[in-house]
Formats: sequence, C-alpha cells, structure tokens
Amino acid sequence: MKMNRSVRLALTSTAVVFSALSLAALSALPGAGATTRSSDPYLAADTQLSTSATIGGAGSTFAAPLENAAQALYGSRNPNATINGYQAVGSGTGEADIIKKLVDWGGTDVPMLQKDIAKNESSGANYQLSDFLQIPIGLGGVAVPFNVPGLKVKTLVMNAALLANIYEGNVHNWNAAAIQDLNPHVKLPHTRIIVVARGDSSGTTYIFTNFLHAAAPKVWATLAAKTPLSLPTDGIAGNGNSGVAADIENTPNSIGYVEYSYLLLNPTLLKGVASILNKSGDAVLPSIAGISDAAAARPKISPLGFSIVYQWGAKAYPIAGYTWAVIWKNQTTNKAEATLLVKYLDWLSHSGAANGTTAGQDVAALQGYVPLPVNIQALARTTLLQATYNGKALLTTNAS
Amino acid sequence: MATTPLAVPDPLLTEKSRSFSVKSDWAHWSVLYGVSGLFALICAVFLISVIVSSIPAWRHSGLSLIYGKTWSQGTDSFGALPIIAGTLATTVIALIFAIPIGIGSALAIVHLLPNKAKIFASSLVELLAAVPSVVYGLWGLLVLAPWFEQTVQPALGNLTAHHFPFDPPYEGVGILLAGCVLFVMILPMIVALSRDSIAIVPKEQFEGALSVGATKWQVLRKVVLPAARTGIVGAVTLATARALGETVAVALVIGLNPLFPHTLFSTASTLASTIALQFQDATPLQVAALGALAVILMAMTAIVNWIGRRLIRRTAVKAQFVRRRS
Repeated sequence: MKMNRSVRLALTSTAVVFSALSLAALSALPGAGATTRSSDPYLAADTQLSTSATIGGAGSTFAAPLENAAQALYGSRNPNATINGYQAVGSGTGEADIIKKLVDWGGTDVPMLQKDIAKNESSGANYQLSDFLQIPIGLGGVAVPFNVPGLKVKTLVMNAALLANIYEGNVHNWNAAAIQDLNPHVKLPHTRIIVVARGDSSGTTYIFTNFLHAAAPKVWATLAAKTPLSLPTDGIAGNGNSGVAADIENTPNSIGYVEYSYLLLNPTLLKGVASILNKSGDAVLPSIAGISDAAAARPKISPLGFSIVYQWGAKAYPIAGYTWAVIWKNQTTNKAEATLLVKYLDWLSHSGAANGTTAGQDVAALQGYVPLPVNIQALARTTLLQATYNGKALLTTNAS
Repeated sequence: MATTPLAVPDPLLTEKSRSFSVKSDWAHWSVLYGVSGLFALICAVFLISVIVSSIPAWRHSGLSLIYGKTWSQGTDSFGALPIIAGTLATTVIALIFAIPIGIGSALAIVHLLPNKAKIFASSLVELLAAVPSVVYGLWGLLVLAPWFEQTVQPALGNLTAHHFPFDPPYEGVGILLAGCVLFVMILPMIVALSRDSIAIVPKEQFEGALSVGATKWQVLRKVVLPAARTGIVGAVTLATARALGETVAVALVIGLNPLFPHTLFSTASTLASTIALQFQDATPLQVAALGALAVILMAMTAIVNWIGRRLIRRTAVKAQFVRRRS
C-alpha cells in the first residue's frame, strides 16, 4: 500500500508516542529496573551495589520474621548482595555478638546502654556507647488476650494497676472488685485467674513491664526488664510468643501477653482481648492505628529515650515499642560490606512509597508489624548518615 | 549325687592385669587402651568444663544455690530447691506408674501372652521406644492437657472434695501431667529391658519350681523376678536417669513456674527444662547459674546410678554366695 508522506508521519509519531508511553508505564512498576521517579535518592541507591558483598546479623527474635522476609526481597532486587540468614538468638546474644564483631549488625528490642556493653561482653569494657549507632527498624505492640469461658463480651477494660496486681498475685478471681469496677455491666465468673507469662528472656516482656512501671509505678516498682517474670502460684510460663498463645488458648480462665502480630496469627485469641486504659483515659484495643498513634505521640526518640508506652493521645495504644539494629559507627574491615550494611539497613527502615517501590517497612506491614512512622524513618536515615568508613560517610546516593 | 560346682567366672571381680608380649600384642593392646583412654578423656573434659563454667554462680550464691527457695533471673537470685523438688516430683510420679506396669507388662509378654500377642506387644513396645521426646511433649500438650483439664482433674478433685492433693485450679498442665507424659516415655524402656532379662531366666529353674508344686504366680514372684532382678534394676535405673533429664517433653507440659509444687495439679519446673528455657539471652552469670543446675542434675543422675549399681552388686553377691554354698 502506498502511503503519502503525511500519513507516514502520522503513523510514525503515533508509534513513537505509544512506545514512549508504554516504556513509562513499564518503568513505573514498583521496583522494576531503573525508576523514573526518585523523590528519595538514598532509597533508590539502596538496591544498587556495584561490588558484591556478604553480611549477616543476629539478635532479637521479635525482629526475626521481618528480617527473614526483608532479606529475601532485598536479595532478589540486588544481585550483588548476599545477606546470610538472620540468627534469632535473642537480644542479649545479638548485642554480645556485635560487640565482639562476630556479626555485622545486632538486633535488639532494647537499645544498648553503656552498662550493657560490659555486662553482655566482658571484653567490651573499653568500648563507649558512642562507638555504636542504633537504628530503629521495627515497631510492634503487646496485646493482652484472655480466655474466660462463658463471658458474653469480647473485651474487658483493664488498666496498668490492675494488670500489675494480677501479675503479682494480688487479684485472685475474675470477679474481683478491681476488675468489676472497670467493667460494671459485665457478669464475671467467680473463678481463679491463671496468669501466663513468658518463661524465656523476651523483648515483649520488656515492653509489657515498661508499661506497668511507667503507668503504675506504685504497684509495679521494678524497672522494665527482659528477664522472665516471677509468676504467682499456679501461673504458667510459656516458651516464646507461640507458647504463651497456646497456653492461653488451652487454659480456661487464663490471661497473658503476646506480641500484637500473634493475635493475627491465632484468631482464637480474639475471643477475648483486653482494652487498656491509656494516658488520656480511653480504653483502646490493640490495632495498627493505635500503635502508630503511640509512636507518633513521641516523635523525638533516641537510643537513650526510646520508650513509647503510655503516651498521650485519644486513640494511642499504650503498650508499644520499637526494635533496633546496632552497628559500629566506624566500619573498618571492608568497604563493600560496610556499604551494603548501611544500604540494607536504610532500605529496611524505610517504606518505598516515596519512590513507588517496595522497601523494608512495606514488608513489615505484611508480616504483622506496624510500619515505622515517617519521622522515625527520617531518624533512621540521619543515624545511618553518621556511619563512616575510614572517616568518610558511607551512606550516599551513589550506586556503589 | 555330689557334683563339683561349675567354675563360673564372677563378672564383678576385675580381670587380673595381663602383661602383654611386646612383640605381637602391643598393637592390639595399644589400640584398646588408646580408644578407651580417649573415651575417658572426653568424659573427663566434658564434666570438668561443665563444672568450671558454673563456678561464677557458685561464687555468687554459694551453697544457697542448692537450698535457696527463689529462682529469679531478674534479680539474679538463684535458689534451685523448688526446681529440684519439681524434678523429683515428676520423676517419682512417673516411676510409681512405670515400675509396676512396666515389669508386669514384661512378665506378661514373656510368660503369659499367647505367641501372636507376644510378638505384637513386643513390636509395639519397640515402636514406642523409638518415638522422639518432643512428639510425646506435643501429644501431652495438645491431647492430654485438655482431657486432663476437662475430665480427669475435676474427677480427681471430686474424690477429695477439692482438697489436697487435688485442689483447683484445674489447668491441665502441671506436675501430674508431666509425670504421666514421663511415664509413657519411660515405660517402653523398662518393658524392653526387663523383658530381655526375664526371658533369659533358665527354663530349668521355672520348670523346677513348677514341679515342686508352686503356682505360676508363685513361680513368677519367687523365682523369675529375683533371678531377673539385675536386669530389672538396671532397666529402672536407666529409666529414672532418662526421666530426670527429660527436657523438651516436660517443658511443654509442666508450666515452667519455678515454685514448690504444693498440690498434684501445681505447675512447677524441672532442672533440664529450666536450663533449656532460660538459656537464651542469659548474661554470663545467668549462664553460669544454669551450668550449676546442670551440675546438680548430673550429680542426681550419678547418685541414681550408684544406687542402681549397689542394688545389682548386692543381688550378684548374694547369688554368688548361694552358688558357693551349694
């Protein structure tokens, strides 16, 4: 078919425009190749590494599901990066490992203090806290489920003083005055309360005891700690969050505390979840919005002041806390590994929404964590910018 | 008719040390001594390293590690008496059930059951002995615990009008459940080992007793069991040692609360399950305290083994005495 010049011009320009549009559409897919939108250049550079390197981390079990899922995705985006499987050995061991330089980063639910350095690792007595950087990488809450057969409602209002008394063995029965006063219209049975807690060292216990001490210091005088609580008589200690969840499900008239994501994994626990009175006087059920509000209520956190329990805010859930990654401030061994480390942690602590990709905090949301608020993501970025290699800043917008 | 007694070598007397001819036997003996020496060395190194790792805890708490009544990691106060009590309680409950039922089953398998049932029962026992402990623990937690909590514990409580030793609350988990799970775990061991030692009692003794007019039950009680006593005591000793040291199965069903068990339904804790549970994230001092628990557990197992060997030796000495006199 013979075409005159104007028809050919029209066809060619249509084809050009069409292919340009489709190229733009393809590149707008999250994470596919080079992005055309980069409102966050650091995040864009996070998945680009020119030299191959291998890193590994160990520590908190609370962060383990996040780390496992995130590492898989990060490895698929960045072929030069190899991240060894995260070892969920517990926060204390994670801190000891990073002090001994056995791993590249240590995961801990409670940021290290100066006294922790010597306590965890006797060879670390000469190190200063300022030799380390601590980056928030995850946010979670602690729910208080209970199992009272025959109860007509799905939630009971509780406050810190009541919970503290229950865990100390001062409140014995479900229809005690302390519980009935907070729930005046509920018929409570006259049965013994069976207290369930964590028997192993746990960041969940830390957040829970942090809340009890912050909100009811006269009843719960001991400071927050990860070590197992002393249970009252006939209490049950569970092994891990899943152990506690199983014990609560199997034991009638029991009450315990689990990581919020376990409520989503064990829907039978939703039969009874406590609404906790927060600082503003509202009884709040645990939820992603509630935990986000708690985090937003204290935007200026640091490794020395990191507690977000019992904050002001109408809908803030009062039992929440962060999990952290600890790295050495001045990396000295291998530039490629150090670069990969800061890039991975930066990617992990951010959401990819700014660039239209998927990053660590998007993975966290899928795993049952609460995504880090934007200001906390910014805190992670400014902390990581302090990491150096031979005096020069490590985290850059370069793809290297 | 007088007969000279057979010169049966007494296995308990040690062999006279042999001097070996350097030319031909040195390779043989050096390998034997070397291998057994290596085994002894490994045992010694293991024992010493566990004891040495627990020294900081002994220095911190002294002997109150053994008689102290509070075990709390949070305050670094280490008193293991409630945990020792929990260990003994679960083991004793398991043995109370396992010894009569185990020895009775072994007797039944060897002497009372018809042939086909004998083979079936033997295979069943060996199958049960091969099941891993954690499976027993899961079964106890998922199957037995709800049944205990809904049926068994209220029924027992009604027997004593909700007083000691069957007081409420009925939680399912506790030392009675742990004792029952341990009973199911050590039963195959006792049955299998007792069965073997009952089976090798010479038929002549059995038939001889029958021929002087003893009933079958009298023969079993007065001839077969005493003759098999060495093997049975050995079986019970091994079973006790396993029950003392059982970790995962007990950890799932005991409630892990390091307080004195005050009723049969209380939650408690045992030495092995405490070590397994509290090891993660422990500070160096707490790890040493758990090492001290390991030392206590090894000491208890050694005492049980020593008692077992004394019982065997007494039986063997008596038998030897009887043989020499006849």
